Amino acid sequence: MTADIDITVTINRRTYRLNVPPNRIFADLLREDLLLTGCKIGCDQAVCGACTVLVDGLPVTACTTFAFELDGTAVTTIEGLSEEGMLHPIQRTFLEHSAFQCGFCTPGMILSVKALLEHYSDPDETTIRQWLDANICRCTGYQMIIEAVRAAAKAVAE
Amino acid sequence: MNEVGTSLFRSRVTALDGPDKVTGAARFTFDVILRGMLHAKVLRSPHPHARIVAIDTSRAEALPGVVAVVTGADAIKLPDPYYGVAIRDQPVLAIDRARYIGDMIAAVAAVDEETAYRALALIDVRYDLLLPVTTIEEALADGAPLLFDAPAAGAPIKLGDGVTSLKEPRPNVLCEFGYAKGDADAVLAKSDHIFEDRFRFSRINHFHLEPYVNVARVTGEQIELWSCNQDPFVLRGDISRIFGRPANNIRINASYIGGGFGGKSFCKMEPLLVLLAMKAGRPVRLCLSLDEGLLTLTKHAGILTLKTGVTKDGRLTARRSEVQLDGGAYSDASALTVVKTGYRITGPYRWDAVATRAYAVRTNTVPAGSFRGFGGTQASFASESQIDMIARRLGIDPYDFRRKNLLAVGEPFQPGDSAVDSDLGGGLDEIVERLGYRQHRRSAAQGHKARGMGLSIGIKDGGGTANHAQALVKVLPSGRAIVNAAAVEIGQGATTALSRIAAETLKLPLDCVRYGAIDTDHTPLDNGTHASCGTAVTGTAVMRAATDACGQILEFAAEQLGCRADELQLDNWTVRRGNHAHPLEPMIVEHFGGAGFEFIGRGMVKVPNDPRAPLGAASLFWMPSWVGAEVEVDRETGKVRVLQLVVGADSGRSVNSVACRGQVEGAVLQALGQSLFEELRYQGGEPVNATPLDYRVPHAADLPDHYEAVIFEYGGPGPFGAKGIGEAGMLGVASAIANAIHDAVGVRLTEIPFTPERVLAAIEASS
Amino acid sequence: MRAEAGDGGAFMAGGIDIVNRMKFGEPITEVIYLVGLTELGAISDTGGGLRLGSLVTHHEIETCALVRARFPELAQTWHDVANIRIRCKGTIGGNIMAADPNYDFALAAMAAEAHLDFLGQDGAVRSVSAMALGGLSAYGLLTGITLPSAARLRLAFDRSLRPAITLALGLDVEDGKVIGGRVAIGCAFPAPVSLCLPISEPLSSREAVERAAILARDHAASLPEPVTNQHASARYRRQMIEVLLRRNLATLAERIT
Repeated sequence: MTADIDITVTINRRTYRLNVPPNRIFADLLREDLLLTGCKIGCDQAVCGACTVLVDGLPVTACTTFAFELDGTAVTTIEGLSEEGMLHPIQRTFLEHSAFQCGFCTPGMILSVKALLEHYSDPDETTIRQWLDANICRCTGYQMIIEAVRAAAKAVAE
Repeated sequence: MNEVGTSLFRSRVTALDGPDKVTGAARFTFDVILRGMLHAKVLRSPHPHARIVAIDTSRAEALPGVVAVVTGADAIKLPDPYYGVAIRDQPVLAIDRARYIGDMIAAVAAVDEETAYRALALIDVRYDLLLPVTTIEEALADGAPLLFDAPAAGAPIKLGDGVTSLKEPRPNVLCEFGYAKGDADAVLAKSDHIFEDRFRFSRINHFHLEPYVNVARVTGEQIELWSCNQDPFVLRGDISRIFGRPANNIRINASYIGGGFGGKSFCKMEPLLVLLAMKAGRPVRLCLSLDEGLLTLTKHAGILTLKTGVTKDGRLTARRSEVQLDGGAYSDASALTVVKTGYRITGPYRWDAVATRAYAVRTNTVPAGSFRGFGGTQASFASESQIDMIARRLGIDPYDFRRKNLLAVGEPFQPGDSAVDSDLGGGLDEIVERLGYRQHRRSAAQGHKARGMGLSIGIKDGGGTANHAQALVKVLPSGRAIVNAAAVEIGQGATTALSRIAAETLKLPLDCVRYGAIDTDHTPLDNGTHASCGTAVTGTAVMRAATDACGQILEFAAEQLGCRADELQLDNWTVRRGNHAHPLEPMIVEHFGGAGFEFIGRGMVKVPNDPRAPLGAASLFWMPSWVGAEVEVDRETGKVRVLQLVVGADSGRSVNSVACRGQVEGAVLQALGQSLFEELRYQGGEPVNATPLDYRVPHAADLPDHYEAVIFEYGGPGPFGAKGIGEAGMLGVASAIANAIHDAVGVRLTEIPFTPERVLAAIEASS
Repeated sequence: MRAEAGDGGAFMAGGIDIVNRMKFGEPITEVIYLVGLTELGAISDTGGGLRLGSLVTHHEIETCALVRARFPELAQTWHDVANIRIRCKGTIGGNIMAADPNYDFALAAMAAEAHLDFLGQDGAVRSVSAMALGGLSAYGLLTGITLPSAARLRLAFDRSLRPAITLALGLDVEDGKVIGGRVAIGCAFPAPVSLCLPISEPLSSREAVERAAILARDHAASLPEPVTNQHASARYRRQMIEVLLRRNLATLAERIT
């Protein structure tokens, strides 16, 4: 078995130099080593998207990503969205539009939306539905989430 | 916003649990960590039915890092190792038999999950395979193998006078409910037409994204659990009974629950975890995978046979129903579900006579239990499908047929029960309007696609039966309040709704009220977060507690001001006497000094027992669900696309209308998934898709093109006229879609899900 | 490295397939992580066709200007494959090497009659026709997939009935006539299956449209028995192969001018 691996990864604008076992799962590293517990683990097999984090701006399931894969990347978790106590526009519109219920899928959902709005500045309903196909929500029925996304698109553009 | 009615609470508020949830700060049981905590894994039966001949755990126990292993040999030593609602046949751990693939056989506590998993592989179990029964028909066949050798502990559910409630009446039958009004056979015999139809309902899993997760710590005499369970006090009672320990030294701590839908109601694996924690001598965490969740609980599948009489001009006369629910291997909440399915099978209609027999069959499959809608879903699918079928057979428009037979406001659902409190006809009219039902002309066969529309009115009694709740409201010297009630936040909005009720009663701004943390030592008792009772039942207790607090506050102020309490009015933490305003905080500081004083208001509610009511108490409120669906069916592939879904539900008076809408939309999509594709499939005794990769639930892309929730406000018995609404969206969707498919292509599907293959087979069979 | 790792070793790119298999208990003890080999991620013009490196992601298939220009149906279809997470991380090479009948890129490669380049353990480079898929891991490391000239190829995909069946159709066109084609079927058999269309003489667009029904019927009848599983029966699958093939053949042929 290979020895532990040195990785350098920026998480929420802070750079970490870590030494990780080759089979360390990134979700466990976030939750257990860095106490970033906003990343929730649902299905643990990349189906539900609850553990979605952004790696270089792209949505990725932390539960099926090895820590070594993050070497040299910039990661955003839900904890990294607000800056200096100010909520990100997506967080604000999620609150305003009640785009959550139990909240377990919400961190992954919000990060997925952030990536969406970085790819499409004014996504239409179809584009939003297709993008959010990667995130299961068992509670809301998605409609109010989609409304929050459309409002967030406007807010982010401003 | 689609609202029809007048609620006191017009302004839109941000959910109080919102900021935590959008920042990742929200703590779930999933996040609970205790120092020195061990990690548990469960060994599950690979066989649907087998005798456990021997279990050798020695190799597992010898693995470094393993602290404790438990098996049925440990469970059988407990004072009462069985649980279940009313009928207790599920052992804490399998004792002599495995009764379904996934049944819990042994459990390991180790220093980490990896070690626990490795230890499972080192447990040797010798099984003697037994013949399984995996369908209702197999279980009821003459000479079928029995799941249980001896009667289970417990008693049949107590219902009203004249209603049958039986425990284990026949082999492989867990329980039976029987209800009769008038002489159904005689009325049927005199009816112009009798129609008998059979419907099959499928099993689905709750698939809450937060897995089943619990942490247990046993220190000397004290048992403490951090649990994702929806019913902390029910759980406390079960733990007390199972372990023979006093309930006042058992503390259940609740956090936000990451989805429940009834799956986290009643005992599941918590007793097993307590057993393991006792043996381990350290706290233990057991977090199931979602795969294991699929093997823990499902919604009841079933066969519903309805024999319905009608006059030639379309008036319903009598219905004789036989409801067979597949209860799976263990009781769980089947006893309750059987009662509710049986009672609700008559739908929102007027009948001269009714005869219903409903029972749960034991099979070697995953146990079935409470799932949002609770029997109302199965009953509505069968009833509202048949209503349409009968209308069509008589050449009457399904809308007109329903309108002719609907119960009116003020009419009792059944004799002895409460009156219907929603305008069933008015709600239907609104849905019909928004769907465009009148403008719709069934499209002639154009190429291979056809469109159709369908209607449905599901209904269930709401708020539980003879339910009760208690609450405290503490008001601090500064005018901040804490609501202490045990309606656990599962995403239904209990936090905000109950805080809003308290705020409105205390005349405080909402942001001055907090919903307190829940644990069974400090929070008043609640009967469980289910049956859509949070607002109407727990909310009433909260309102009474807040009212009690108001009374105390005014008494205090009156004493300080030397006047009578009835001369005073409370408003935004100020007491008004005529034109004078007296802020309360200075009065409190002046009188008490030190840390000041908290006004602690107490409230409780109990829905009265009534043996004259069929269920043993009059139903607190009625929860209809009006559904209009438009579909497009591809005749060559059988694929059904839902173009429009318009769903109405009655919130009574919305305490938080946005949350009401969210609950309806969420439930509707769950029901839509089950109608078209979602199913936990079995091949014999083996589940074939019990893993998230293969168990498909609705995604955003499954939304209909047009999807609308309409919240009616017909008034209810809860605070400020509220009702409950969490389950409504489940009820009418499957039948509305079946009715729309029939309208489109003239074929009737009586079994869900309406997969393309099934639809195509029906189309081919009809031509 | 792969030889050294023996039976417990596996190549890993996006890890979508590999990590999933590990979670379900496959005893993979070493992964040879390929992501650093940037040359495997290139998309290059072959003068008419395209060479896609095996580490090209699904997302790149969807968004790359060159792919969109040469094979617009491929890019459009790929917008819908799996979900955005899997498209960003998953690679077309990983998709093919997983040999999963439910996965999509093998179907595209077969319909296009692509060629797969492998680097063997002996250092030799081999090119294998996508039509001959089976036992692929024996060839070594997949380095690239070459799609033929776009001028001669028309592609169509139908994923509307997954997970019962998915279909990829490739028609070879010369002088405005259909001279041959391939149909690749996913989800319906234990592995992706492709067969050539029984076109013995060049067909004009109109002729191809008229004969779509017969071609579809004959083709569907010539296929092996589909599987019956929780998603669909063999009978339904065979029926739908015919229906979807007929529809897609007619639609695709109609667009040929």
